[in-house]
Amino acid sequence: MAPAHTSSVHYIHRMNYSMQEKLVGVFILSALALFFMLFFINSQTTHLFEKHINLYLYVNNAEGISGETPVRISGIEVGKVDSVEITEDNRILIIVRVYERYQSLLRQDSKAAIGKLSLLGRSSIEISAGSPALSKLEDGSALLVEEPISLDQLIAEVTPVVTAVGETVQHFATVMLAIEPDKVQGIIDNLLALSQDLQQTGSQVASGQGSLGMVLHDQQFQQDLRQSLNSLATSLQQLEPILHNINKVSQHGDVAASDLPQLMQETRQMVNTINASVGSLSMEIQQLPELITRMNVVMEQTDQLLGVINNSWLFSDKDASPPSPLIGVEISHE
Amino acid sequence: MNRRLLLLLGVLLIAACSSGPSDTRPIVLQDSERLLTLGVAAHANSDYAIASDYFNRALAHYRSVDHRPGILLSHLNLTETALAVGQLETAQLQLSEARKLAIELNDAGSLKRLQLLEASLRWREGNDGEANALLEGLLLGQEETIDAMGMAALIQRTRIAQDSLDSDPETFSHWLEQLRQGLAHYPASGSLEQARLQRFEAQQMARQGRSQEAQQELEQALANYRERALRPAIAATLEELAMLHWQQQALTDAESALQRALYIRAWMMDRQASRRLLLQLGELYQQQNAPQKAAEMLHLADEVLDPSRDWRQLSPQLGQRD
Repeated sequence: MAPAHTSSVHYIHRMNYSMQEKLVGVFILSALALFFMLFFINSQTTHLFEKHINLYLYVNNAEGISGETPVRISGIEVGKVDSVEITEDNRILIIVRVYERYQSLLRQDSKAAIGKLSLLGRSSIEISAGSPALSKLEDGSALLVEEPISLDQLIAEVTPVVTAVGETVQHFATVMLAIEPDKVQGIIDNLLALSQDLQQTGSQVASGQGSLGMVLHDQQFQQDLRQSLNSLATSLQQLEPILHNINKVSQHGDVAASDLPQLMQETRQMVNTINASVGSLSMEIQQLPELITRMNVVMEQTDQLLGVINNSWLFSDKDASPPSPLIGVEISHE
Repeated sequence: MNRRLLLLLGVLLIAACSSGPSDTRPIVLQDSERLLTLGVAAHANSDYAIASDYFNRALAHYRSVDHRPGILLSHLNLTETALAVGQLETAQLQLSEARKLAIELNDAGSLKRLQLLEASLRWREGNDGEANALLEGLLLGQEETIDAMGMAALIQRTRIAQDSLDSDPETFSHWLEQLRQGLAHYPASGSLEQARLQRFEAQQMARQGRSQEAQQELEQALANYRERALRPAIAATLEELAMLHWQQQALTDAESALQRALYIRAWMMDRQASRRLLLQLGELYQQQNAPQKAAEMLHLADEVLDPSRDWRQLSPQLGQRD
């Protein structure tokens, strides 16, 4: 009976403890592996059997775009990049897979844009939702793409700025080096002295010294000031009749103002006259070329006159006879 | 105020002293005449190619407005220029055109001038008899005083007589004497005419064996021409001097004089005269036992007459022109 009992024992009891631990470890690792595998498969196959359409995007730079790059419309992920290929004419073609249920968002005026964050590694393709009035995009349609500035271009644009900043810093450093610490110390000393003087002035005002201090603290000075203000009030009362007269004058001014429209009319006439004068001046300017031509003729005539003067017996040391258009009779030298 | 008045009077006085009223002719006529004047200046400078260009342009201008006196002037100048460089066919062509016009215009002065030019042309063509007849016709009635045309005719007639100096020395002596007398009656007689007389006398002296005197005469004439920078006359005198040296068997001096004359003729682009000098040089080199040089000169003499040959290609061998 003993052998029968031995054969019915579960295999686990026949394992030693170490072996049992290893087995448990295998199970745990397998479970973890299965868990991660399922997670991975899930992410890959979420839309595995979902119907989709393909869109074609032609770009110059597909930096940051890969098979996992999501495609979004208004922030909603509507598909993925299927593949990136190089066409026969050396352009880059991105084939985008968009799920059919989002097809209604894709219209003839939809545009694609490669996400700005693609420069930093988080690439995405954003497609703008089209106008419902327009027809839907069909499978195999090509979309216009707005490409972001490439990193190289960005660096190329930023480089001069950085250089300029560097130069500025260098200039600033030069300026700083040019400042002598002794002079800075002198300026600080002067500021200190100035603040001490201000403090002293403040304390003098507070103690009733000076005009400002007396206004605040001396009662006699305050009475004098009050009397002065009363005198000023009396003077102002005396001014009242004068102001009354001024009022009359201003009434005359009103009467004069009634003449203002006529004055304005005259001014307008004057402006019109000036305009007419400017117009005639414009005509004069138009006639300027003719005037210049005439001047030219006069200049030519003057030139001729000068030539004549030059050839006159009084001024010329040459033979006055004009040059002959005919070769003179020559003796034969042959 | 008085100052201004005086200034105005001064200007008026100067204007009154001027040679005449300002030129009011149409611009095209003024331009054409300017072209003729430029051509005459170029001719006086022995720039015959440039002169010819100016005259041809003037001719085209005048033809464009059918200005017949202007056309006649252009043809006359072109004839003179063609004769200066020995272009006899061109000279004949221009002469015929000019004569037709001069007859149509009944221009006696131009017809007389054409007679002189034709005489020169006939002589160059070797037709001495016709040339003499034309010249003697011009000399009729020039006994008392002689004009420029008469003087030119007299010199030309003497030059033709010089050609037969060896065979007919009396005729040459006769015309030489006529020339001496003519110069005495020629009011415009100057150093050029005197130099020309000296050259004729030198020919007579050389024939009489008075070589030293002949050389002196020629050198004096040469100095005179050099002073006037008269290229054709300098070249002709150098050629005569070379012949005198050659006669005296001073071959090196003769070669030098011929080379200098050739340089001048080449500068003037005178193909006929250049060819003549090249042939003379070839003969001289043969006498000097320099057959290679002689062959070179004879080869050049053949090429220089070829109108298809660019003168600039020949000039390095004949003398560089600017």
